[in-house]
Amino acid sequence: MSRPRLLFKVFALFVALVLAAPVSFARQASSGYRGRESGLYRDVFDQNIYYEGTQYLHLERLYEDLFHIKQRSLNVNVFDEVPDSLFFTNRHGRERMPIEALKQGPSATSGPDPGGKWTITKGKFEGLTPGFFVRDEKGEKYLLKFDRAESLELATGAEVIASRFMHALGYNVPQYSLVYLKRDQFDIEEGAEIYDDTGFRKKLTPEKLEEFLLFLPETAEGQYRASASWILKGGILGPMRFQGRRKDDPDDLVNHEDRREIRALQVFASWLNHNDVRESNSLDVVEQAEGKEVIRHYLIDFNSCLGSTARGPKPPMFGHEHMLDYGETLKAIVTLGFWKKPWQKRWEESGEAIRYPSIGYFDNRQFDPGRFRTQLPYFSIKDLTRADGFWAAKMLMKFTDEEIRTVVSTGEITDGEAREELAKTLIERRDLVGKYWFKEANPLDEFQLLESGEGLELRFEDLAVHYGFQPEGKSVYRFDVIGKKGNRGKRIAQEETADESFTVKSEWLQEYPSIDLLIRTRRDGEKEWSPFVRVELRSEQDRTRLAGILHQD
Amino acid sequence: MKRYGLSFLIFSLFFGSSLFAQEIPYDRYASIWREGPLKEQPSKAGEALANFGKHFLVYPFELIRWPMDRALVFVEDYHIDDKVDWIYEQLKDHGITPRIRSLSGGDSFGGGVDIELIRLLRLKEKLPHTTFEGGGLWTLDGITEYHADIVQSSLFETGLRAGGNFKYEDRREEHFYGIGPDTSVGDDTSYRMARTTLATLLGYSFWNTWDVEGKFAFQHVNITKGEDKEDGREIIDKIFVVPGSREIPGRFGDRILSWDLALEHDNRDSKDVPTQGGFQRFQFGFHKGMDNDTGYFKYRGEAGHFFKIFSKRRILGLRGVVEHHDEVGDRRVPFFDMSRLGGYGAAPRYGDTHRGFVRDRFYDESLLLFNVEYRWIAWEYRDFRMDPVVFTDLGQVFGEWSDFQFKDFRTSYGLGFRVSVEKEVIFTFEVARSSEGTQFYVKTKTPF
Repeated sequence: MSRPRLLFKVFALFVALVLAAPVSFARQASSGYRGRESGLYRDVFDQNIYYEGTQYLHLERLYEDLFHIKQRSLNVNVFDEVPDSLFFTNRHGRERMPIEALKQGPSATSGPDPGGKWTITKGKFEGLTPGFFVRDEKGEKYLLKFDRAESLELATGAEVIASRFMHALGYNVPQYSLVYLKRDQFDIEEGAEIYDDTGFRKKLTPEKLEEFLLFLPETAEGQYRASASWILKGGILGPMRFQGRRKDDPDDLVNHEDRREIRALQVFASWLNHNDVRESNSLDVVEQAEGKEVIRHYLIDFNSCLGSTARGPKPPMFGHEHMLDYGETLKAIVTLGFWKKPWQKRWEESGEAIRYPSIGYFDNRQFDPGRFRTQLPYFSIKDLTRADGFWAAKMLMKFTDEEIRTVVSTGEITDGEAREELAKTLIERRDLVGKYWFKEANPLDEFQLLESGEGLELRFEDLAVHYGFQPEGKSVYRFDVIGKKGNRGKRIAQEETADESFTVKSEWLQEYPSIDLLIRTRRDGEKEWSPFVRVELRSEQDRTRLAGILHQD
Repeated sequence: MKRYGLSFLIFSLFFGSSLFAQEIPYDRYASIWREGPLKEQPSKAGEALANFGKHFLVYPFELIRWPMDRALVFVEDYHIDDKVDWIYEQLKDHGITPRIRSLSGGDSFGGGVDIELIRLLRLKEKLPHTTFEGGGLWTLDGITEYHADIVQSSLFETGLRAGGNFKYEDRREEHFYGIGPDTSVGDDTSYRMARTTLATLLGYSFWNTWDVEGKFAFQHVNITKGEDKEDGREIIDKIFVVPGSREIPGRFGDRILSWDLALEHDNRDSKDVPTQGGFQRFQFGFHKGMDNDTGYFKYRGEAGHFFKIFSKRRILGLRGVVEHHDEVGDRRVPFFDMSRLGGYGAAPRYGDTHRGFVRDRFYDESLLLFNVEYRWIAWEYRDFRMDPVVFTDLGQVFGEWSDFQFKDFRTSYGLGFRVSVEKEVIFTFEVARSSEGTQFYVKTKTPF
């Protein structure tokens, strides 16, 4: 792009911005809910410029950052879990999903009909992700997105694989399927239009379609490969916000930046290399559920996961820096460029080349789960606490190697070596993310309260040991026993054990109606104790129950 | 059987409590919250009040965000950026190139257009190596330029080219501080210069990186009053002429014939953000006045090189310029054609790069200049990048070689950053300091 062109563009866009400012864009959905419009430009301006610039004018945020205070997620239940909601449904984390269900992903339909005619209702030849809105012979509508010419299988594979993982983790995602189509399967609906690279809406003609298809890569069988995203049914309200909440939705009670599953997107994004987590890649949809209208919150567009972006392989800095990363830039400025950024080291280590075009730029060199950066720095992502991170990490650690390989196979990457490399990278990265968060928090989970003739016993699982990140039998667990009467608490005992169980003495329970056990862990060879996990026991009517679990934020 | 029974007994003794222990179940995914049922916290009125308390400092800035958000959504939804690109492409395809002149130190915003007639008349296919272009540029600080060029390149399917051009420049506010290295910035005055140039050229490009060009030109230079609303010529004389000495040469303008020959070698890997390579330019010219006493030879040598400092992300750029105007007999070098120093440079007929001083701060017959800058990449995103730069400029003007003195060197130093896309600089901001104060530059070009 030449300088005169750039300057002309900048000038013209500036004029357009000034002229367009008075126009209002809030959409009113038929259901009466308020709609919202957003896009990449708005997301970038809001998150990377405006909120970054004004964040410390929010006194609460200034106070929290000054005193290193992290606000606990507000939608976690007393057992430190996220109950099912219109945002999130516990799936694989609650109970291991069958392999077939993992492969299937969300199954709103039985899948598109690959053999029949596909009628194009609308085209989108420009922008980050060119594609078509189509209708298959069964009348279901899909958005077809294709790979770039030099990267067959990359974006389509990434989208299908990542959407299945996100679904299994618990998010609402549309159904994504891989389809292989021949030219003669495409029909153009009367009146179908496209936005082409001129930016003007035009009638879609067979010639224009030919022109578009000319630039698409073909498989060895001469087919076009696409990811087919099922068009969600219901009232589309536009993107979900990652902060604040919908005031017009009675089910939306917690500010989204305080929702654990929204904060935890940071952890899942680090695993799936999903640097393009942003509001305009989400969708609020009005649906009918149990006889009433509800707003379900979806995540969409996963073709920028793994080693892919919508425009081809991931550029080297993606995942390491925000789009405008003031901190990293400042470091590079003050060190006069002599400080080498991790992504620069990684790019050099990889020989500045991409080994497998079908999986793009995805490896674990220089990967630090705590330093993964999404493209835009949302408050919800910054607000992630240790407890949120631990919750997310334990969910993704549930995926076994075999399950990961199975989900990877749904991307139908033909190069077996590339496919195995992708699975291997995800398996390794799962462990890296798990290890990191299990060290940040106290990774005790699967608490069980058992009653026997001798009294009560609390059993738990140390996930760091369970997943092999720490040697068995080498960790020490320190229990501070707090007896509570009303609002007053008193430490009544402190015990240490190497076992993943603890006996709750009956005299404690007789004297105090509530007992809190503050459990800290010390690893082999370490002096420091970990953050705590608080397990709350309540005695009511001669029966003691497990009343709460809380991992320190 | 007995053995199994014994084992069972031992096992029971050790793990008895576990075996017979009964789990007290709990539903770990239940919708039970610590503070009771999840509800709006606080109430709508309370929330509004609490929000005001927490965020009132931000509210003034929301007045920026609100329209900006809407405008950005509009631009994206209606594909305004693609439309702008397309419009530019269409204009370009028809030979019309819009020009936006940026704000910059000492200059102001302006715009113009270049029209390539061969394209406009759809003759590019028939005449692929012919350029016939005209255009104009207007700025808020009163510069008007019109030009027309006709060039035929690839003559005889070689690197040979021939052509001619016409240019008219009207600069209403050219600053003058006197001649020599010891002038004072307080003696600032201005004049208006209208220069009309008619030229023919013959050039040859070879080995990809070499170029030689000969040019014969006729120039008409008219000097009149500047911003001071009086006759600039008189002001120049009033201020700068020491009683008994000669007047400022060229104060009445002149009609000048000139012959110039330039040889250039450039093997930089990018014009704007080079990481290696360099350039060398040598120019020799003879200029003779038809109305007044203009008459001089011009010699100019310029060389620059870019070195990687152990990485292509860290670049040291060095540049040196030496220029001398040698009077012919009793004839003289007009002040408006003298070597000039001061300002950002990067534009023809502006003073050479000495960023700590105002544009065209120093005039004299000779110039010696060194520029050193170190730049490095601090931010990259796809094809966008931002390079901070620190620099120092060291230079002086002087009359004859015998007038050269080390003590006359003036120094500038400063820092800034440059934003580029696809290796084309689109925005630079630089601050430079010298003994005469601080200069700020906002530009769309690099100085060398």
